[in-house]
Amino acid sequence: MTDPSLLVLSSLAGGDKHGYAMMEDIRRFAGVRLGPGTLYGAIARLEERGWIRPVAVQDRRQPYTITGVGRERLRDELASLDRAVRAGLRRLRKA
Amino acid sequence: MKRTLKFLARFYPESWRRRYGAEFDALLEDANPSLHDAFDILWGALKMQMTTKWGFGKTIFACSLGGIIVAAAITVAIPVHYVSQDMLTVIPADDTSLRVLDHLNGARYEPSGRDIFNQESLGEIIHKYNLYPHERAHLPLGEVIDNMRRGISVRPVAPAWPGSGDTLTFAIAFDYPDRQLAEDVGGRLLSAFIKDDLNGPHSRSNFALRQGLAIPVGPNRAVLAGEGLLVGLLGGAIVAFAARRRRDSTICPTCGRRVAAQLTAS
Repeated sequence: MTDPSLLVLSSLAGGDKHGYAMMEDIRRFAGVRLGPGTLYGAIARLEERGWIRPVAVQDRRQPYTITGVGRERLRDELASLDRAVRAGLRRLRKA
Repeated sequence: MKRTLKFLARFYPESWRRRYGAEFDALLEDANPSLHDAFDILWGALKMQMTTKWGFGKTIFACSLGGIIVAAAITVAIPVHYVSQDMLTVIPADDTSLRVLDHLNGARYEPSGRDIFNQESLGEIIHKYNLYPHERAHLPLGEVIDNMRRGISVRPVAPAWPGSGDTLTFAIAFDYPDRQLAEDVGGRLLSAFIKDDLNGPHSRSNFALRQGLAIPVGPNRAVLAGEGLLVGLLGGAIVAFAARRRRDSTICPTCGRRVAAQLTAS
């Protein structure tokens, strides 16, 4: 899973959002501003994989929601990252 | 800026525009666009075109064109420099040809222990002609002198004229970014060369000089363009192959991995 996909899934794990709302949310919680092309590249990939899906349109803005499979994938990915982070921190403390 | 970004968004494939176009435009309306966004959209459109629409030939053509453009940009970015073209013909008065040859061949570094291109003489030339001003601002003089040494070459060439087998001709060249300075310093090095020899053990030798104009030396544009084309062709073939594989595959909804698409009977 690439970083933009992880960020989009993490953003949607907090509730349904449209593109701009995701962009702002990711900027707030990760300090990263995804460009429009990168964001929609990730959205298209995640939708193709069935990890997110569109919900009812609000004034041309298309919100997305995370699916059950997407939530499961995100949990796996974060657990894997968590293991790597813990191991890295542990080794840094020993060094 | 927003209008520019909306225009750039048209470079996405038609099928992608049908699906995401309206919401993408809405996002561009809401966001504060930047120049970085323009590159981001162009890059996204290019990737989407290659993976969803472009055929093998079109991808290779685009990459080859890109390779040539990058090569052209590199040739423009590399500055032209000049190499002085001075010739020195030594006419030995006696049978000292071999010793003269040895002497001059070794002159670049240690001619009989008297290095005419030593630190002191090159340092003097650097100061006199104000050479390498940027390097001198950042590097010690010793390193600047080493750089200058790398720009000097002395090499024997074929006899200057038919039947002149007893003469020895040397090309002395100096490489520098400025044409006038390349010629002036080339001439100065040639003088030092002769002076060194006149004061040395071969003082009975005669000399003939030919000072030429410094010639511009730059990147070989044709070769670079060819290399750019070749790299573009190879890169294009790899990208086109990867894009075809991607098009011919599908995403496994449970594991999330890309797997080969299978035809299923309905």
